[in-house]
Amino acid sequence: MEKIKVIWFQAGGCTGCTISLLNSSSIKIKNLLLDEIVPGKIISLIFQPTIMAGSGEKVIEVMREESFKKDFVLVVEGVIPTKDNGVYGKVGEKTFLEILCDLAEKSNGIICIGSCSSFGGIPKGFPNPIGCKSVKEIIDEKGIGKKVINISGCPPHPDWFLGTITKIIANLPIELDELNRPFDFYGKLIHENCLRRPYFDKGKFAKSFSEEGCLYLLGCKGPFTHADCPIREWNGGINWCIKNNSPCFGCTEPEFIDENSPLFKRKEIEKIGE
Amino acid sequence: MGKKIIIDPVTRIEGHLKVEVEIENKKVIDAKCSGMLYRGIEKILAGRDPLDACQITQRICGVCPVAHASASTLALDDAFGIKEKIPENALLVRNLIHASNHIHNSILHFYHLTLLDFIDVSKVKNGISSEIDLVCKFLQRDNHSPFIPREDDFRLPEDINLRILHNYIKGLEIRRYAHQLLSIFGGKMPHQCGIVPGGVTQKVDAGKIENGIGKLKDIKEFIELYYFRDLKDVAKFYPEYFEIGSSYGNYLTYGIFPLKENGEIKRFQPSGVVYNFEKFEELNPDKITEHIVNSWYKGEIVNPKFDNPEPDIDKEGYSWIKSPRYDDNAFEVGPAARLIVAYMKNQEPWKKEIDNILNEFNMDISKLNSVLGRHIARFIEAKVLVNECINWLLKIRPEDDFYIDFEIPENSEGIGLSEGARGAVGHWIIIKNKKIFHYQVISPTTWNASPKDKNGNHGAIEKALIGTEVKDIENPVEILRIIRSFDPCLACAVQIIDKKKVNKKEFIIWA
Repeated sequence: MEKIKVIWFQAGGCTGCTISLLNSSSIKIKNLLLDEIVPGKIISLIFQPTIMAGSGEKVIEVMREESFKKDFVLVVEGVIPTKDNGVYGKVGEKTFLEILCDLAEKSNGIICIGSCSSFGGIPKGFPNPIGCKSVKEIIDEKGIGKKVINISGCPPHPDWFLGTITKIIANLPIELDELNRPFDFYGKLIHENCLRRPYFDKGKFAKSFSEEGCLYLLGCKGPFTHADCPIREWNGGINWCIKNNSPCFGCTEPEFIDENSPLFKRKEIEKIGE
Repeated sequence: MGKKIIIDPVTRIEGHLKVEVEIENKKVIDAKCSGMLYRGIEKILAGRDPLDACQITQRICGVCPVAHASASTLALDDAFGIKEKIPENALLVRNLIHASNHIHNSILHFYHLTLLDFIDVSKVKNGISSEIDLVCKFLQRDNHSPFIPREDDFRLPEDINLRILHNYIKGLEIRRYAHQLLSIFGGKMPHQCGIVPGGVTQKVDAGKIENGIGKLKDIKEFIELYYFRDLKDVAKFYPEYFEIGSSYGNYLTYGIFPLKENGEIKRFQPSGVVYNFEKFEELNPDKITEHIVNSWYKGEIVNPKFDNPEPDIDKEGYSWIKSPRYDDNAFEVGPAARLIVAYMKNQEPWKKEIDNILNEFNMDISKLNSVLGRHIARFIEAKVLVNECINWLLKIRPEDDFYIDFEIPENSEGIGLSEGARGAVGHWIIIKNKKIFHYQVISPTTWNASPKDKNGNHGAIEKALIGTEVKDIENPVEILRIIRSFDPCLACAVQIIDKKKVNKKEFIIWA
């Protein structure tokens, strides 16, 4: 049985990425935890604070032992504060910053789940009170030469993460965009596949949530946002933001939150579709 | 012989909390809860468009984002002068979104955050169910993470253990249904997008009503058939947990699920304050302050209406969490608080349901003040809300309004009081020049996991830990079960220090 070991490090986040993963319906979470992902291959979740049984020294010891074997994928959820040497986020006696650098150095590679670890997310919003940096920025600064895959989104769709993991497990190449996101899921703009695109093309814009139309004037960032929400949809294909008559906030982009705020006001379009 | 144990992190909770416990003669004599993460979300809100608040604040928590979205929206409705004008349909849809999240949380908390303290994953056999077969296969691996290692105090007989383990796995599915239910009305989950000031973004048509009822039926069946039996069996084999983990008996709730009744807005779960299980008083939000003597901020006592204290990393103290107090008293918030207040106000269907269920456990209402009591309270809520959601769905009038337009005033202020699954959540906003000038959030876990206040009063979790007997400090299940019963919204580091053996100072990070 071939296995990929995963250490899931929760830094300064809200656990929303973990909960989103629990919502997976293509690969059900019970299969992810207990079963083969593809025939003959399993994921061994060494450390995941929200679901793991044990606490404290026992589980830290497992993580330490495994990390010294230097054969694991590091998943990072949440931001890494760097201001004042990172004192704003700690587990035990160590800052998130110290833990990240230690684990990153020993890992085979890093997957950032969510916009916080990918780009800084909401905690990095002006005035960035705790000096958040993305994992990629920190890795580059410290000269830790490990590959980083960003699965951005607030939260990301479970398929984006699990699809990427499946490719890793099956030894398939993963094509990344310039922001280190897998092209499979972030290759197109929301706008390109949007169900309200006909309204946009006809110039029918809603000015209130009680009107029908394209949501661009209500702040929709679909024309600037790369993700496949329109075709994948959320929570097992039940719904997604624009289908629910709510503007896209552009949560998969580094512009989330400062450049995309105000969230409910239009963002000027210079060029669409490219 | 005394020995220092550091439990770091405490898993199966949300976020970063450190709890330090001092033990003498096997009893906890002091406890300190420390929040270990500061993000400064309120500082990030200053200067932004007020409408951003709802989306930004729900990102405080990915487990109960709807609680923040609701409190924020209520604060904005209030500041915009439209809180009385929100269409009835919008109130119903907001309630459906919010209640789905509470139902999700009850299942998540009991099955996935709590049960591994009580069920033995390694005691299985083939041929019971496909779920259990998966576990058998899993156990043939050389590494059993994330289910082993673990703490150890397993007492359930084999057949019950197998049934509950099966439901642990089945529960993963059912919890997902609750988020699907939410997504029908809220667009996506976590971090829904349906709730906005003025109402909700999407109209609900007959198709959505039918989809919602379908999901509710699946969830209802699981809650009524399995959740109840599983909880009852856990209580049967761990009965001392009706006595362990008692807090003050002081309860506070802001009330939740506003509904229009004869033109007036009334909450399905009412607000109120209870002192020591006896004295009831109506909630007066002006009595809420935050003590910060032991928190790493500048100052001593602050008012959420206008203060936003600066972090102070050199201060003596032991937490990023502030200590919210009501009239200078410490309170427990959460499902038990909501039920006890509804009970004292004789509000139905709560009173009848509480009596029925407690009767099944042969307990009176005072036993909600315990580890098992909090689990029972969460179950009662899930059961009542699943049924009430069906009623709310059937009250929706698809042809009527779901949203009203409004103007953002030049200057204004607002307060939004609601409840997360974990308890009272309040948002305070001041708007100047159509921008956010001031924003403060008091979330449930700050009440429960607060450090000592100016008068030396502990927060509810610290209070519940003190006096607890820890049978084996190598295996401190009592401590973990008490902390988890509060469903704290932080990942946790617990340090247990035996006073006889070690110098406490060495192990306090911040003191």
